[in-house]
Amino acid sequence: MSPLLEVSDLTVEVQRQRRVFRAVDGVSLCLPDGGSLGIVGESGSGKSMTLRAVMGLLPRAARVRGGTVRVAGELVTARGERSSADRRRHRLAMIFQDPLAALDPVMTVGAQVAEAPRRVGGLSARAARERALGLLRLVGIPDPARRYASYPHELSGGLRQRVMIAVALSADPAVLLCDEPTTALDVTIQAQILALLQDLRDAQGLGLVFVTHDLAVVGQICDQIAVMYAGRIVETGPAAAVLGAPRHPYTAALLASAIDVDSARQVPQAIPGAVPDPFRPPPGCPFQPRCPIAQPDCAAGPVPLRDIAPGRSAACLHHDMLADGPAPAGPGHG
Amino acid sequence: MTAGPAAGVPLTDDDQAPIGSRASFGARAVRTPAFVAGVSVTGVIVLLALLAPVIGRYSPVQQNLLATLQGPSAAHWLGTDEFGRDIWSRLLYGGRTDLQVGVLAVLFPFCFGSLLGTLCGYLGGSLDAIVMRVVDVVLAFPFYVLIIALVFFVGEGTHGIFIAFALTDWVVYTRTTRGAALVATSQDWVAAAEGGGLSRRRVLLRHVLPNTISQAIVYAMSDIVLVILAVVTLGYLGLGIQPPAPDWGAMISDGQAFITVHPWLSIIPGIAIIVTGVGLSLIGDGLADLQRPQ
Repeated sequence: MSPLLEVSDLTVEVQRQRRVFRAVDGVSLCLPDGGSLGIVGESGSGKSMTLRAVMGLLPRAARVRGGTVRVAGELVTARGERSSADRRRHRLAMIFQDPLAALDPVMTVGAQVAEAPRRVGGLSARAARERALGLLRLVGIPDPARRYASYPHELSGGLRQRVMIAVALSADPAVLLCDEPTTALDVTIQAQILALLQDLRDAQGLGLVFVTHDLAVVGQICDQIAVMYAGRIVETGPAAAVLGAPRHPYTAALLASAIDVDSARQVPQAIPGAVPDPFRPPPGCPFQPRCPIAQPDCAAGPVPLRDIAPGRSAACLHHDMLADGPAPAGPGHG
Repeated sequence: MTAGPAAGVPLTDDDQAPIGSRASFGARAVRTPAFVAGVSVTGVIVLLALLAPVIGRYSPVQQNLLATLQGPSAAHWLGTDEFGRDIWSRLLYGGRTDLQVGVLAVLFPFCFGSLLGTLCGYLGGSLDAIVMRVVDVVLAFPFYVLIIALVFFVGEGTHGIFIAFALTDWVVYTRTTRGAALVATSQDWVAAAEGGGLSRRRVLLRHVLPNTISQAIVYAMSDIVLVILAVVTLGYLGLGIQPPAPDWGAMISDGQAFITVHPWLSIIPGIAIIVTGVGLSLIGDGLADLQRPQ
């Protein structure tokens, strides 16, 4: 059986001031039925761009230059085509980072949830309203009949995020693409939204792709993880395995930079250096200038993603150095 | 969807807080001083213009050469002009003409310009590039030079004014709404609507346009004032509403000959223009205030 969502060798180029750089460079992802995949990385690593390319919602300056996206085996996007018919048929939906920016400010939330069932699904106005009320109830909005006529700015951040999830579900998707859905929320509401998404995955069999820079979130709700750096995937595998024993120094550095209340380590370790200039990528492995275990051969040529264990791959020539010993502590070591 | 509400997802107090009673547009409008003042002033003027046949007492074109250039009296509240026509009646009927022309001349530029600008901002590409160059060309001409030239070309009178404004005035609406549409299009809710499988036409008309049109509406209010002023200016130059039809511009220019001895002939219609302009501008200000998020 073909996987629910399969992305192969996706490449996206972005034009900025007459110069072009690769924001996404040969990314391949695979989401099995009912699975959940986390994509993590720093800002500018290309994770959001990957999601938007899959959805066919790239900004004007960006173009898909290669690769394919298949949903349940069927080809969806190729070469930057924007076809709403495709998205409808293949049932992808997206939820965004900032719910206030992702809801039409001059339309009631109920009308926004009812719009896709009415216009795309062909329901009658009354049936669409019923469905919208059902969706608002499903995402845990209290008293949906009264909230139906509210405008987005009248709702709290958590409720807005729920409404946005309802809007996404209204198109009856098989896969929900989540672009940092909890970043704009405070911690208690974050937990609620994550629990809601988990519920939806378990109850509805919804596939989840989760883009975030919060490793704890990935560990909590994703079974697979892909770590992105400078437009490429540098490590993939089962979330628990990758987060428990990273085999790419960038993953290890990300983990070291996260706040961990359980460990004795008090101070999070910053990753030295900065994300490479996309117009002038460093030679060889893109992480090599910041890498604590870099060797001379790292700059020699491209470092492809290779299988290192069953179900796991990493784009590092020296992943063995991480296999046994503890994760490198960051700057000053190696 | 068969599952019940997402169980085990507690809500915060914030989420369960009672839904604040949202003040309706009307309720907020009543609390916006500029809007109330503008609507009152404009309302009175529109009412007077509408009631012209009832409260005018004389026909605006009825001459009485035995009673020319009279001062205010019981028979002629504001006196008479050089042909003995009742100034009060001419003022009312003139307002009728000018308001009508002002609103009608703005209608086409408002609709066409806003739609085109929104379309350009939303779609971008070559349509946008071409339309914006045309806008630049039209804007490069001084407004009155262009209007006067066009009225010369298509003929004076109301239809000349309509055609001249239809050809030139849309550019302002196009520029305004294009900017608003560009902002809207870069927002995630447009992506969300497209991502939901809605057609581009639906996204444009139902999501982008309602977010751009409010700025155009605010501008339309001051634009009506601009058109009335243009009509008055053209009337003063003899290119506007043709005599003997009453029009404030013609009244001002006709009174000019007597400005030293009977200044009220020009001052009275001048005041009417100022009051109308202030009223409409206040409505525009009020609408802008009302649209600002609280």
